[in-house]
Amino acid sequence: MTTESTNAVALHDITVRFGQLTALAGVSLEVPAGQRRAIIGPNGAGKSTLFSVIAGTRRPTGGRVLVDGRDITSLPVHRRVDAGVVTTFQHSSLFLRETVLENVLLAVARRARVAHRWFRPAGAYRDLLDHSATLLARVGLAGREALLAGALSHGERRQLEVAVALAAQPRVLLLDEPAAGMSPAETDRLGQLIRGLPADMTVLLVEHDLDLVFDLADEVTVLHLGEHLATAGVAEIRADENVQHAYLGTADVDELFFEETS
Amino acid sequence: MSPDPDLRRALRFGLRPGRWTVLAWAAVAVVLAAAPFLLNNYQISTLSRMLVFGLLAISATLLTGVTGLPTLGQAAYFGVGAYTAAIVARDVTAIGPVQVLLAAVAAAVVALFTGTLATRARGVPFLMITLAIGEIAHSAATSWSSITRGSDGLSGIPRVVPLPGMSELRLDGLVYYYVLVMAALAYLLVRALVRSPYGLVLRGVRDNEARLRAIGYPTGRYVLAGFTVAGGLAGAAGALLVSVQRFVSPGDVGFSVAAVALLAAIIGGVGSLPGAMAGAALVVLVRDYIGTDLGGRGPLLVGAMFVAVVYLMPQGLAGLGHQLRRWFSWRRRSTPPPAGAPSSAEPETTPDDPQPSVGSDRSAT
Repeated sequence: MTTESTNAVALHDITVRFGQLTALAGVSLEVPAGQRRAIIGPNGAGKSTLFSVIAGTRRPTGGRVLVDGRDITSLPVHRRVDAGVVTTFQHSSLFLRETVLENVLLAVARRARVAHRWFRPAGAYRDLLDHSATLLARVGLAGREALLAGALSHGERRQLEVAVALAAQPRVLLLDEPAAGMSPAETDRLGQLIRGLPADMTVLLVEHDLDLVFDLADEVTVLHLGEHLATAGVAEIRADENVQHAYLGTADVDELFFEETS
Repeated sequence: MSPDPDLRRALRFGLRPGRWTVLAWAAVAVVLAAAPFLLNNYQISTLSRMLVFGLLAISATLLTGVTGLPTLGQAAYFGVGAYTAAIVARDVTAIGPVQVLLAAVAAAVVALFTGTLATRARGVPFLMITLAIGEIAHSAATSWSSITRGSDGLSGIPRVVPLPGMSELRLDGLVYYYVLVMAALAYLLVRALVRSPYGLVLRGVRDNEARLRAIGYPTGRYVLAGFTVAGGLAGAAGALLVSVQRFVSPGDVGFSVAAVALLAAIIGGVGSLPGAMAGAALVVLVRDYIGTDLGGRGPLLVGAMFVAVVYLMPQGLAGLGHQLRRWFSWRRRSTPPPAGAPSSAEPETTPDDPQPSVGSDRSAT
């Protein structure tokens, strides 16, 4: 129990099966509080499945999920957010018919516990509006508040996605391919943003852009075919032969190509 | 980086209504206030029914347009409210607001219980469940004759007394004023809801419920609360109907009433409260007024109108103002020179603005 309580996230023997297919076969992980942990692996390694198990959108077939030593395996998604676990989505998932500011305000209002009130107009909560705008400025969306989220470019939607997640006040932030489809400049800014997150915020990152991963991560976990292959520092992972074989130096060119475009 | 000094412009309902909106409302108020002096008795009671069905349409809009849950069940709560108000009026008190309040509470309670089942579904399954609720309510109104007197309906309901100490309203014009005031109060209540943080959450359910859960919302509870409020509102509308026609029968609980509510909500434009009001007025006008001259082919005309609106005005009546405004400003722009172009208080999106913002959607107030 002592090791569990020092870890922000601990996964014990997580197994997920879809019928005959085993997506995750007994994966165990421990992520200390405040760490930036990248999870990499070829397509089908189970990265996204692992995230959905932590976020609560998918119940594992077996195993336990602990956050700050507390078993959250059977908590619904919204209770996990209360416990500090917040996810961004691989494919931008926003409120496209609301404004950029309203997207963030939704998360802010929930945290401020005013989301059930209906006698004051939303515009009267000036401090919440200011806070939402500050978060938008932080992800580089200052001046875009009044646009409908549906009018944003792909890269801007990814930025808004991060702002919405931050507005939910995560202690454990799960970033599912945050740089997918971003231009190099946008990826750079995203890297700066992630580096600038509070030191006590634990960040789990699934990402295909390995430059970004090696730049940001304290430690890297490699999944392969639903199994835990290795967890180590960046330098060791780059040097590890198994990892090279499974992922980085794969001889299968088609597979590499497939990853990069996904 | 310091945030914008006034961020309310970035909220859909953040800004004060523009000059034209205020003028339009003032015009509507004048017309509604003058109506009893201009219309005959049948016309004025038709106008009262328009207000009643307008409220019912608003309750349907709250679910269909705002929350994204198309419903055919609002007639059930309308009926619960109508029967409750009728019984209260007959046995307890003739004071209207008391009837409305009790009717709303009764309907909200029924909505809360039936809603725990209905709000587990979304989309077409939700529509089917609400349809079933409506049909059950209709059956109950027909066969639970110890309370409803079956298909005979409840009659002999005393005239409404608007406030304690006042005398009963004997003229249709005065009943109309009573309904107008009550409908306006209910309208303002719903308007506040739609503009509040809670209203934003309901719109979030419509847009992306999974995302809403992922930022910590137990969405089921929020939807159930919205369902309950909408039910209470439909119940209040039912109470007003009883004040207007002093009679209630299973026909007021039937599918046709639920369909009128949904049609009015859609004709009005998705999520628009004034649109729902206008949609209900149009449907009642066509069905009860023009339809009577067509030998009972009113429903056919309503159906044709519905098809026409869906094809010609996909944003409904609420989009009409915006369409006209675009058309006018396009005309204005094409007439050189635009010297002294009126500097409207609201930052309007110009027709050539490629980026939609809230400014382009203000008509959905």
